Amino acid sequence: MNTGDGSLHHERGPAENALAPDNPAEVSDLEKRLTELRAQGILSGGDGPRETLRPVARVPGALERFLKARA
Amino acid sequence: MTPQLPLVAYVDPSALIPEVLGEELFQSSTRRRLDAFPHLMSSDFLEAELRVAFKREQEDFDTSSVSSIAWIFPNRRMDSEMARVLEISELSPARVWHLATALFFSEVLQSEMAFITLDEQQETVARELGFPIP
Repeated sequence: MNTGDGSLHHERGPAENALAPDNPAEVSDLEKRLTELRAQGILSGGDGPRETLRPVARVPGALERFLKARA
Repeated sequence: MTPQLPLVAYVDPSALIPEVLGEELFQSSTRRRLDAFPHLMSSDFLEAELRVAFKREQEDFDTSSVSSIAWIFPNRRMDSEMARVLEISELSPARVWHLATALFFSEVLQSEMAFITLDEQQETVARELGFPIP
């Protein structure tokens, strides 16, 4: 979610809570750096919900065909 | 003691195929790997490769399926990164591009970044380049 100040904020999911490092300063530094890279135009998007990353079809063999095509 | 994973991961499209095209054989392990990282990044070339895969499988691509991936737009040529990749192995252009973009971004991020892929050739090179492989 865009907070209006150029930074991004979203609700922490279970994965984030489980993997948050013990050092909050590390997280803060990372978030600050990501915000800087967005401001520089090097990084964009990614604020959609992770839940959208779900199957839209059932296609057995798709990975094998993908790897064969890019070889 | 288990080493702490980075908070950021570069995602190769091969790691998303089981997710978005429902390959049950790989889906749960891929899901665990993706969920382990609060921040997922990739080149927007990922979308091109996914769109081609969807076309090949005669399925409709939904842009929102990749809305949680942040796109990396390098602000300079990546000749040195491509050379580093190719010093290790002769890979296909798509594999080289994703690894070079990951090298570029880990440098500008100034922080460690993991590399998630289901492409064995690419994973071997990513490991040699020093990326943590979840």
